[in-house]
Amino acid sequence: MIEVKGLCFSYEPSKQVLKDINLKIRGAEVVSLLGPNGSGKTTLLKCINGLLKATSGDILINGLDLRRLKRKEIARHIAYVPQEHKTTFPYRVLDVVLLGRAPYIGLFSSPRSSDIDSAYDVLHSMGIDHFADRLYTHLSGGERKLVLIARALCSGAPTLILDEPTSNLDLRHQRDVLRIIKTISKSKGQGVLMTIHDLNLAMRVSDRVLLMKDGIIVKKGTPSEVLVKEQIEYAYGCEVSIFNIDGRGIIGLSL
Amino acid sequence: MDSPTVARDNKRPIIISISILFIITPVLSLFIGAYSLSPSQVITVIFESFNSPTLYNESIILFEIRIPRIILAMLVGFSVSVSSATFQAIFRNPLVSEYILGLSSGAAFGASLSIAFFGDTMPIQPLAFLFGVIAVFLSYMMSRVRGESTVLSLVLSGIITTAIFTAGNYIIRYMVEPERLQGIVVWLMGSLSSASWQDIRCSLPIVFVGSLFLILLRWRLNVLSMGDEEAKALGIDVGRLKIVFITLASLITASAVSVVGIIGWIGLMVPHITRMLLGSDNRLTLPMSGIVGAILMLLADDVVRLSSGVELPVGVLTTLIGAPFFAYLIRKTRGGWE
Repeated sequence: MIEVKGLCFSYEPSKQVLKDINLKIRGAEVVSLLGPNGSGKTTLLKCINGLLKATSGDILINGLDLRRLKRKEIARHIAYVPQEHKTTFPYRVLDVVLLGRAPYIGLFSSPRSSDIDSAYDVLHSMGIDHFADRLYTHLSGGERKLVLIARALCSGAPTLILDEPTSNLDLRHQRDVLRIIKTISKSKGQGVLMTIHDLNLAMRVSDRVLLMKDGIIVKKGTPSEVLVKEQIEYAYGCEVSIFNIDGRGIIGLSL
Repeated sequence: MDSPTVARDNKRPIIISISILFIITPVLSLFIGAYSLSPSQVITVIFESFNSPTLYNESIILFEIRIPRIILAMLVGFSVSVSSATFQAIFRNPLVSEYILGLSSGAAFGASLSIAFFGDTMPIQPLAFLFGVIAVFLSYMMSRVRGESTVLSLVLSGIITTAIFTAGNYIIRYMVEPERLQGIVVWLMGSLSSASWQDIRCSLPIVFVGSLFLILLRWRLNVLSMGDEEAKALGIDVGRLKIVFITLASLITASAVSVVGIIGWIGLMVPHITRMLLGSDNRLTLPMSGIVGAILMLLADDVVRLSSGVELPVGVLTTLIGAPFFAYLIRKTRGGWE
């Protein structure tokens, strides 16, 4: 479980990027972080896995203070799927997935056969075994995203943080990614925290959502509590209409 | 070994071929040189040396000139290739060579200083080594902004360091008397013609220990080549590990360069060739780069020794062959990395 209490962050003292953030991520739930560009979503994700140092406030991982944990220990608790990814060298997909084992591999060692087995297992469980020997640089954006998720799963960390897992993906890959995210939380009991721009997808996939604006969480709760017309319009600063189709609210832009 | 995949099995013939070349090339190189030694003569000399330690021309040529030269060529090729492969991975840039952090210009400055002012009193190597290492640390310190040093700032500070030491080098060359200037120019072109066991004793310990650690740490290069932030998220202590890699790679290159002078292009080319043959995984590519580098460097020096009469400096030859070859590689593999 991850607990954030009174977190503040600023790059420069005069301008606070995150103000008094409080949140919890338990196992077996999908939490989505919503909000306009520049509202501090990615910064918050980076603070939670220790890539950025919070100015004040506490982050507890299973009750342990993040500041006292080594990088290796953080990585055993939290796996991170970055938003954009370019590698310079054409690694095989299997080699990329194996990197997820880094927090368990000694300084002078390389992955053992058990690590390689678990990489194959993850690829298999995601139905992408056939990627293993392909070159990562030859994959499409959607396929690369699946591989990065496989890498995160390969670490076996109980919490996954994903930065816009569906951005720039076509419909089918959006579906693939979100299905995997649901499976991760429901059948494996892992906690998921992600940022996502598509409110309708967030509505479908999230157990809870946090709505951010200007570095503050303005509303949190279930998707149906948070994603109502007034709150969306307040956070994003534009008009929306909510259509009711088959008993489900669909959020649409008013142009 | 540990990964029984199809892809790795396909590499086996290539690995075996490279290993065979690694053994055959030095043996054949025994017969190459200004003084012609036939295979039977070489064998006779080797066998007789076990029985009677009498020195005659053939045995001096073989044991005091050719064998040390072959070993030194391979040692130098191995060092610059392994350290270039390391730098290319941590800087995530396949166009980087072992000289990116100003090492060669620092070493050149140290060598010039040594030849110009201490030419009669001390060997060139210590100052060349010292300034090569100083240059790298200067670049590294300059690049640190708020405790972090990004790839771009490192490359920029490498350029600055190179500029400073190159300017210093020109000042020395301008001031020094002509006969010493010649010594500097020859050193800068890189040559193995004066190779001795003493040179090997100087550079082997550092190259051996440095390469051993680089090879032990090599899988971490795969993680680092994902970029700082990702490597951190994957649980790696990026800052410390980078310093370790830069230090080891600089030390082995500096110890090679300080002995033979500037050897162009081998370091830049070899990791490319190795990756083309064997893929990007540093578990395999890093040590194999060293082997390929050793073979190519020795072949280059063999060409030099074959063209007896005008013995070209090997550093110039590697550049002459390397640059066009590299241009060909870039055209051929365009898009393989980006």
